[in-house]
Amino acid sequence: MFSLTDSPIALDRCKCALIHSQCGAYVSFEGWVRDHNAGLMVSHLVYEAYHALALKEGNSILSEAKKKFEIESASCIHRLGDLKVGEIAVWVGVSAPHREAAFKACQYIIDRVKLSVPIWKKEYYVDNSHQWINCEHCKHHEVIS
Amino acid sequence: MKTITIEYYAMLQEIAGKNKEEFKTSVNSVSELYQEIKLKYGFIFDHDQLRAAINDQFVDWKTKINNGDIVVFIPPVAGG
Repeated sequence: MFSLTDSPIALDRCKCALIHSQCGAYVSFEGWVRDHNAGLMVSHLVYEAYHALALKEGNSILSEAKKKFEIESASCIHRLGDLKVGEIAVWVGVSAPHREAAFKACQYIIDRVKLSVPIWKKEYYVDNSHQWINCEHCKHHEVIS
Repeated sequence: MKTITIEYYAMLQEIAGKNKEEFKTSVNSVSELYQEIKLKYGFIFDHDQLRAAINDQFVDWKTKINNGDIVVFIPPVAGG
């Protein structure tokens, strides 16, 4: 299941939901808030989502992964709101009979989530500037101080 | 004349100064609608930098808009 949360992600609870006796492999990914980006020192960031479509698209990606790879279960949780450096922004978990499919499905899911789920990130820097990420190529984009 | 709702997120919300509005338009396609609001608010994005959604589904730019639709223009995403 794909879900959004305003609270810190409860990793143990997430993993438990993926345990099946027919699975020999569990692979997970955690995306952490990094302290730097493109030469700028990050102080914190904010995630915002178009909830209804993010949930639809996220769940669609998980369904794709289940069709594409021999996995048993897959789940993804994305944090929203204010996050500090070091916090977990996104978690992906996959369980499968064998590890190769689990690794590939996990990578597939996070790559697709980053590409197509309507979630936006605004980074704030230690010099008090801020910018919307991936809008760097947009006309007239600038880092706002 | 059609009456629709447009929702704004992220940078579009900041530029428009609102998160949604009821909007009256006589245009037919979602592409034409974007041109109309781009002019109104001075949005910086071109079509190829955005996606469009109607009623919580991604749509093609040629898609016709209907009375009562909820339209969202989606700036470059950055989840994960």
